[in-house]
Amino acid sequence: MSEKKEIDEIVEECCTVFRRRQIEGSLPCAKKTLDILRLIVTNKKHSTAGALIDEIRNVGYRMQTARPVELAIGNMVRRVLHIVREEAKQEEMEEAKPSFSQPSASEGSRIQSGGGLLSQALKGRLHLPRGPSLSNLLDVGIDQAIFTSQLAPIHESPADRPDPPQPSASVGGGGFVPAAERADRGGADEAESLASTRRQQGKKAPQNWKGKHEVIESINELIDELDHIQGSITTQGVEHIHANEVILTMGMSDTTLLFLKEAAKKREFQVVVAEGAPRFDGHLMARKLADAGIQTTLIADSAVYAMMARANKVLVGAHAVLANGGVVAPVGLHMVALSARRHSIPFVVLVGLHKLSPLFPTDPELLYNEFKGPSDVIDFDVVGEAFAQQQQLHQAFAAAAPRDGDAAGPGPGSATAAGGGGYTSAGGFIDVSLPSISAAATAASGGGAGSSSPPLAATGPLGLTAAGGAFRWDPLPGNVHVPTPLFDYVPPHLISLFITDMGGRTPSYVYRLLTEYYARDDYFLSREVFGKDGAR
Amino acid sequence: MHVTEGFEANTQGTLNELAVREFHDALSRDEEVAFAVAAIMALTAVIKRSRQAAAGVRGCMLRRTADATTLMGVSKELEDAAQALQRVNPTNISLKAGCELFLRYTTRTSALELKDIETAKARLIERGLHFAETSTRARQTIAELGSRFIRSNCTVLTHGYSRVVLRLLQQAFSSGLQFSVIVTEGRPDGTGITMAKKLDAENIPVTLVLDSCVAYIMDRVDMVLTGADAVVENGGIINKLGTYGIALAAQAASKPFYVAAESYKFARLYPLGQADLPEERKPLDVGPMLPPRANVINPSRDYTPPQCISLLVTDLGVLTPAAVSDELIQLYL
Repeated sequence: MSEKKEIDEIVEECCTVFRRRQIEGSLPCAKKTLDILRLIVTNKKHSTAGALIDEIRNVGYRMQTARPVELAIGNMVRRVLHIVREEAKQEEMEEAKPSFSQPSASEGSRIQSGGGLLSQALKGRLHLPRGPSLSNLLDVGIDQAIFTSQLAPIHESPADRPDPPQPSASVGGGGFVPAAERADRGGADEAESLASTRRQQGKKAPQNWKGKHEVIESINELIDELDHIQGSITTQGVEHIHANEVILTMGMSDTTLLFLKEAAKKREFQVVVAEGAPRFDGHLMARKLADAGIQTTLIADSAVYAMMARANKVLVGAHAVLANGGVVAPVGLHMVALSARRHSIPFVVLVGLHKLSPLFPTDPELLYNEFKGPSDVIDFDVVGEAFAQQQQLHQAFAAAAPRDGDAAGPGPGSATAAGGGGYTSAGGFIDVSLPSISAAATAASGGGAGSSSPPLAATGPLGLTAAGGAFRWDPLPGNVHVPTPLFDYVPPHLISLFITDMGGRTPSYVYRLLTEYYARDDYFLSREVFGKDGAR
Repeated sequence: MHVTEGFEANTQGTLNELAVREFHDALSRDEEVAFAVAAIMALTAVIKRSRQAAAGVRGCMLRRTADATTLMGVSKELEDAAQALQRVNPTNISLKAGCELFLRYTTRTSALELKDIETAKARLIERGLHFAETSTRARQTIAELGSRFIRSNCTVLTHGYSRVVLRLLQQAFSSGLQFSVIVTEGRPDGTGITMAKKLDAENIPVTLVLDSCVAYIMDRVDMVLTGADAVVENGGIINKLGTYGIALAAQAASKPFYVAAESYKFARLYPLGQADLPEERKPLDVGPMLPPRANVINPSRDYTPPQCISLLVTDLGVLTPAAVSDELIQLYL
């Protein structure tokens, strides 16, 4: 089918864009992801919700792997999957409803008014979307089994539905559409012309899953939500900043800037900005804050601890929130968080919920760091000079020793790297050869020389698995390792509060947000439905 | 009147006996069966039996019997049977928690809406069986969820013998991860030695240390992983004596402390300290050289507060300690 190919091409194009970093930032990436997913839901036909889920998972996984460090992509995929699953569940419930003894109680109203025993007993089923929980452990699966076997024999083929004892798979077979109901909905789907024409063509068999319309609507809502996400965070500024407070922040973050600006409309306060080496985007932040009429102080990163005693609050942005309540944040923030903790200063993180990831920092699937070139840390002039020196050393070495495989190794490797400005980048790590400061080199190589785990591993309990490829280490003495990671992992116990678009949340509440926004089956996009193939 | 009452008590008595017998049967059939799950099976048998009796009695044309003909009656029978079960082992918290959860699950079902008592009972039985099945499967779910916390080349410290921890480690090992386990000896009952034996049988590299060696060994450890007798309402755990000490040592060394526990171990207890634990008597195992006037305190379990616990791996998912109270409140509110 040509149309299918077309969508495939679009997806591939999008993956390329992600891979080339032509889109930067979580929010644009999230939006792009949703656009693609909406395109798929609208223009491709899926006979069941299960088929749609599979497709979204596949495409989602492709997009996530194109840019693994941008977790918002995967998060948006999971959100859409959750929407589809909810819709399928809703449908299933509606199908079971006619035979249900109390149709009024199960009228689909999510807000249960009564507090009686009966309504509570029902609650379990109506709130199924919450995912496995103590309160609905038994409601998943068995109720459906009973309804189909005893009370509601409307499903023609029970084999069509998933195994009842498998709670996680309870939505798989939601695609069964009674012909009568389908006919009812004929005109409702004018919006997606492609889909509706197809439905009219194939009237006999349920060609297109009828829940699609609702799914598309929900995706549109989600996109809308993303558009307003920054606004919903920044409007809370006034609530969190008091008069004459000293706020400490590091680097540049749009959300933080807007948040502070918003608060400055009503309050007078001071901001201390740490410059955020090696990006030094704190300079820009300080400039913008000063332009907005806020009293601003710029400090070096190394002065953070000293300044912390004067601060009343630390306010920063983050790159992602992980399942345990920890955050992936611009590098340097772990240090800020630690000094805030030492001084018992609240460490507040501004974060939109599109950054909420269901992965734990220990998950092998999570790649949370990225390494930049060393040019921010070390000048290319120095590098070039050092490189030239090393080349001479190499030549001298090669001339002295017989050219066996070992000695030949670095030669060609370095030669190709010369064009790139005198450093080689292998698997995200950068080696710069600097014979002139060999004393420092021995110190630096002490930890990292032999092993593939970088010295950074000490920053947290995480394996910084960026070093997937070969880790090139020059056998000659005089190497300096210049890793420039973009992110830090800040553990949950150092974080006082998240200010999200849905209000303030503590790190210990993150697990609850996860169950609200994602289905457990989707936590791992790469894996088959949870429980079916648990082995890695 | 008197006769009927006597008869009632008698039948309840036999029901209780049945429950206890079923409980022991379930335990002896398979050593993998946890106390709580055995209790769940026994209580399901009680509902079943009560139903069978109802049919049989009707055949005998007896007008009034002890067999429950109302759902209130069924719950009463279940409560009695649950109490009888708890009398078997009054200090076992997971048994108590399992019984409580079962009662809660069965009594708050939508079976209450069904008019016909037989249908309702059938539904209760179905739920009971389903609960037993879910609980049996819980361990595997935990193993799958928890094995992702184990990284290759890491060292895991565990305390005493826990079947769910063992399963989790097996799962991680069978997925091709290389790691080693340090097991405490687990005095006084030496359960750590059992654990070491079982791990060794799986070819998992294992090191045995003294219980008092925990702080010494802590800097070689990457993570601590223990089971739990019970998970209490604030997210803390009650586990074999020494767990609290290990948790404190782990906290001091900034090592993550993970707990693997099935959701049927969630108990409605809120201990504020060690003194709040249900008392437990057990035989003393101290050396023979005891001075006559020395007191001996020999508890067999302790309470680890939630702030020492990084995460709980349960069949409901990976939870923070704060999530436990949330789950319990959702169920019991």
